[in-house]
Amino acid sequence: MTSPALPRKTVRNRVLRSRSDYLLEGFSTLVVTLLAIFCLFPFVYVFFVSFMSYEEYIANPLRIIPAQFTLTAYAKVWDYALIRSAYSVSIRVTVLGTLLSVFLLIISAYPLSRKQLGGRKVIMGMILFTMYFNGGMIPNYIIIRAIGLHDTLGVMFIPWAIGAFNLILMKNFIQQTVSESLEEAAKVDGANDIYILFRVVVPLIKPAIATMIVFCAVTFWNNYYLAMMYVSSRKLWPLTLVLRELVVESTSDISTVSQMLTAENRAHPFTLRMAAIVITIAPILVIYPFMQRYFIKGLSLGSVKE
Amino acid sequence: MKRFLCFAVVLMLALPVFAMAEDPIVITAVLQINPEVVIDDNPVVQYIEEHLGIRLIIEAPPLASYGDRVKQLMATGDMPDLVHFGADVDAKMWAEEGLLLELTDLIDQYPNMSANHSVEQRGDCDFFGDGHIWGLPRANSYDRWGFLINKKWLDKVGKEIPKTIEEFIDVCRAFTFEDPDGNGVADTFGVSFGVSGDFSPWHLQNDFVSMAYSISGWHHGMPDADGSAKLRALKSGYGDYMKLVRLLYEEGVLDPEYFTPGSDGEEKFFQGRTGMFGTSGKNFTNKLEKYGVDPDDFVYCSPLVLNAGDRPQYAMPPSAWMAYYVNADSANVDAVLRLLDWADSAEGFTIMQMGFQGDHYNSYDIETRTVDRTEEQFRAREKVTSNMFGFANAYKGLEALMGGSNPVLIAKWQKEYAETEAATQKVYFPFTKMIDKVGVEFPDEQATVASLETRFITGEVSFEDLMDYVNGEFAEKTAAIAQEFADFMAANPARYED
Repeated sequence: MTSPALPRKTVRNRVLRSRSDYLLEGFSTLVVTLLAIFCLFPFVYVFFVSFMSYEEYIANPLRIIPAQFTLTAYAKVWDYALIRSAYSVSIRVTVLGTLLSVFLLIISAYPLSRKQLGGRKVIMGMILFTMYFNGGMIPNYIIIRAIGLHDTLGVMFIPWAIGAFNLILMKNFIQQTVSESLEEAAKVDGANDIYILFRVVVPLIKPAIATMIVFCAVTFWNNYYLAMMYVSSRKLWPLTLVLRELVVESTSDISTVSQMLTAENRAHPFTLRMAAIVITIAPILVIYPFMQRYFIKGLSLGSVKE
Repeated sequence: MKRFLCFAVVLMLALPVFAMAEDPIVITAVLQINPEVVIDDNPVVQYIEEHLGIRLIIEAPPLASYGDRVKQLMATGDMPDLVHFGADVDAKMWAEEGLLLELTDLIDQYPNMSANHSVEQRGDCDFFGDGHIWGLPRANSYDRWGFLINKKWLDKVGKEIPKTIEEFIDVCRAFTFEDPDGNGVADTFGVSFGVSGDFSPWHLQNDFVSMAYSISGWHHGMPDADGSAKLRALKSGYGDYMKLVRLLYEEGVLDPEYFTPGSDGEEKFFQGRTGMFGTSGKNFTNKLEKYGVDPDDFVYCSPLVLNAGDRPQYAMPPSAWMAYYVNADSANVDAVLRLLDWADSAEGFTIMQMGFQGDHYNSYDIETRTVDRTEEQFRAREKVTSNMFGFANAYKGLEALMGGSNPVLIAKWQKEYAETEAATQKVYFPFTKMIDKVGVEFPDEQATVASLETRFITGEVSFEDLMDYVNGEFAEKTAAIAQEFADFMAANPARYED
């Protein structure tokens, strides 16, 4: 028989810590602080350089705090007609896409979480299949075109509204949170499935819904690939695609294209690029602190399977 | 009454016919257009509709993924009437698959088009080397790859403008180790090279050095020192050029960030971090203007030579900026070609490059390529058109503007351009499309050479390792292509002009 571990010496219920504990904590704090600085520095640099005149940047590109703050870069970025239309597109895609995604996640995850659903394993197998295999770029494009979504706002969120990974997380969360006895009790009181879903289940899974809202909103806001592949009109470009256009020189391996991209009219001054980055990430930076706890919660959401 | 009714009926029947006659022809096009240009309600597009009767429906994909988008459209059978794309192996494949309209006999039926594109330029779209032309190369002016040098630094270290490779090395050392910017910190380098994609010592911006060894990085038609035609890695000066880059790297006088794909050598040069930078002589003053530097601090120079007394040389391949391809199944071939023909006329070239008189400039002289416009007009023009939007980037061999936007810059450009032009021999040679086969048929061997070059420069492999592979396996496998290239060049020899 082993005796329970004895508590360390305490003074008025406080754990007395040894010198090595303090050293370890100090070292950990130092390392984490350094890492935080490494993570934060690019944002700080981008932010301050966006307020710097191009001449000052050219004179000393390593300077962080501008000698004189100027809004010239922001005025020029805002002067791009594309930036203004792109802001509107990004907001609409993010709002509509998030609403649709979360709605579809709820109505899909709930039945899949119930053991009495016939063919549940087959359906889950088919959903899992999509996590590993897909048709590829060209077949996807042909389908998008065939169903009339090509070059529409909807193409940026309708075909991608529900992801297998999020669906599995939500399904597991419902399984863990909503007991079947609760459902049965509601049924005894005369509630139907729809009523149970929206009046019983949804209030219980609010934390998961909040997390999914954050996940989906960030994903839709950041996505540029869908617009790049399935949108022809510039007026439907989202903000991230415009940003990419302004910031990224070339990912193409076609030398002649690269040659054109180094032409004068593709050379955006550095400060302009920094201003474009700040304008693009600002909404997420503003919202993120309020949603951070849901984001962290999402890391462990549905991770325990009963 | 009957007559009136008959007349009314005939009129009603005829109305749609009149209306149809006035309907513009709709052309779809995928074009590379920079994001500053607003495509919706664009005045240039409206002008084309009003004056040519052609409604141009433009898709302008993001430039960074332009190639992917075009390939996607071609693969899914969605090719528009007109596509702008590189004259490369993909375009050749589309020609083989019958997706592109052959333009060989059509070009000469359109007077402006045929006049603005030389036979040599058309050779960029002669994919099979049989004289059949599959696209209209975008007319461009000849480049001349010399270099800019920081004159203030040169005066500070007490050196002359380098002319030979030996003098170049000497100036590189002085710019690196003698504190040319006077800040007391060893933070400068002699030179930064241009990079394309992954690291490679072969870039047009580096031609001012490699031409001393009779090598133009991107254009293989440049004859070897003895006048023969050889693949780049098999030329007589190849090994010496590689040794030079290795030396510059080893001594630390070459900007080491040159190895970072995407590092901007041009910006570093104008930031005063490097002292020399390769650039085209046709527009070097544009760069001085772009970075807002004092023009007197920089001098444009001819390419370097190996030995004192040698004549510097410019490699002069035909200049084209990708090409326009017409859909083989297009119902509007004539309209597409009329549009391209108009863009090659003086009127079309001026409108597409400069915009409209009054709104975007006060006056423009196409003979001297000079413009009088205000800052507001210039800004307004940015939203309407650009040199990327223009279907031709040169008219009668020259760009829309030459020398810059103010008299000081134009005078500087004219002086230094004329001096280097007089000092430098021009070597004209044709496009050599068969060289593309090396990358297609022997991609691994080509990649191995590139890898060995990089590793030699960084000191990971020896010079012997590099040359053994180049002269051994690489030379053996590419022998047939090298022979085809040599035969082609024998039939189409380079032309030397003083």
